[in-house]
Amino acid sequence: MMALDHVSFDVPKGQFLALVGASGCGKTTILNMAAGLIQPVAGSVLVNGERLLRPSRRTGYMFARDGLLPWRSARSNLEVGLELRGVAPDKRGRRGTALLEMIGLASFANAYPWQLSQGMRQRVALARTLAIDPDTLLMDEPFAALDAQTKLMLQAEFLRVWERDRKTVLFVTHDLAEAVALADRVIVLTRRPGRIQADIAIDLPRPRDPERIRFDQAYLRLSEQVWQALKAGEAAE
Amino acid sequence: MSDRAQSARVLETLRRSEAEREARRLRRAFWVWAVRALVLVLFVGLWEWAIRAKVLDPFFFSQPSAIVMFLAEEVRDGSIWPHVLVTLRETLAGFALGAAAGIAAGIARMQFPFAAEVSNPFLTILNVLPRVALAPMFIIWFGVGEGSKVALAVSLVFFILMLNTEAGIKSLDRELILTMRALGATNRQLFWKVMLPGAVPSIFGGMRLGVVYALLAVVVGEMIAARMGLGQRIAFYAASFRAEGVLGTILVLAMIGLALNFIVARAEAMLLRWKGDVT
Repeated sequence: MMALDHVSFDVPKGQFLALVGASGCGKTTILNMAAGLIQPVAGSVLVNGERLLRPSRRTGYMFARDGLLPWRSARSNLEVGLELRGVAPDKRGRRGTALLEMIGLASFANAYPWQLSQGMRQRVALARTLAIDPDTLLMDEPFAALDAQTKLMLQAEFLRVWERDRKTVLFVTHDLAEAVALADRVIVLTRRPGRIQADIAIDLPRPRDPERIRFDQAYLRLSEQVWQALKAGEAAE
Repeated sequence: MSDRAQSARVLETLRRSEAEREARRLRRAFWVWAVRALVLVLFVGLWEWAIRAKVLDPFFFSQPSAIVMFLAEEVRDGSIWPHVLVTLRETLAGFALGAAAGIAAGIARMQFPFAAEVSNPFLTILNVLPRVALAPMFIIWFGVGEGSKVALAVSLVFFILMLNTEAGIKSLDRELILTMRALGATNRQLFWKVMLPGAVPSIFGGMRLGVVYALLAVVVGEMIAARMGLGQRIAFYAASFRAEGVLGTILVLAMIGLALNFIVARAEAMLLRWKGDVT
């Protein structure tokens, strides 16, 4: 089955790009290709002008489910990416401590995943992705499994970190509000096989507060635009 | 009422309900043990009574008092200890060797699918074979001493641990593997940092079973032909029609089995603290 068809786009360095579309439109396929986990049947993925043939260690990938190793503490899970890259334990520990403080879980450093709430686990997963200091962040509905309150909190937290470092982000979501509130640009995909329905620049000022922005006029106009594109994409074929 | 007083009252109520629950748990534990003791006393009492009332023939069934006297005598003159030592040594050696080899084989077979596929039918045949039937051959091959018992135990423990190791590795959550791969894990790292630790619970399940089977194999081996060991004692007492000797020795074996099982369970609880629900 064909998941994607004639999908082509560039992501400038430091851009926060959101991909939205109905479920099963191939959003995750795009991320998996960008991660180098799968290869396109036809076409190619270029990162910094080079063809991507296998997973890059400069890319961070975050999923809806936390995927924390149940036998490792929060700290040890957070540092696992560094461990895989052979970073020395003391250096790893310092980075781990800094990140634990950043996500407000310093006192849970030694807690195991089952002792943490959903939101805490996802925060550890986020910190684990950031720990390896990736050039590119691939995020597959990273906040989808959270309740509304926790979701807003994590979105704000993530935005704060991102606005500081400005890494390139590919962010897949089916939540329009999330896409418009966070991203610089939203690409709307049609139903399977996914094609690009619309490519909309979100020129809202930064820093943004995902909680407040919901009542902003410009935000509402852009949301409407994205929503119309999504509707049109669903109707296509 | 002030906030402070109110929260103090809430805390007090919580504390009391916590204490209440703890007390209920203790009461229940007490009754469980009391009823267990009662069942044991009833069983032993009924047995003793049946012998004395000549309902049962002591030649076949012995009696609790005779078994206790027998054990007391064996312990007093110290004649039982060398046999306990031999059986324990054979069991532990067989268990350790079998478990180590089984875990290693399970890992190797998961790492090298080609070798695994080639070895499948052979290992299946060996595994379905009633190993106890091989005991006479083991005695021919490894002698009447401790080696043959250890070998028999290894032949049982090996397969249990190999299969459990493989099952543990296979049953791992795909999500974890995907996440770790995305984090940049190489195949080797994936194996050592995800698959193997993930298989530890299953490996321990195999060890609990394995330690009991090691004891079983050793005792059977000793019963067939041995110079020393509790199995040899059982065969000896059975041949001389001493039911209290057979039953008393079996009681000692049960104690050893319980102790071994307990040690593995403790090690498991320590290593699997991350699970939080291991008791």
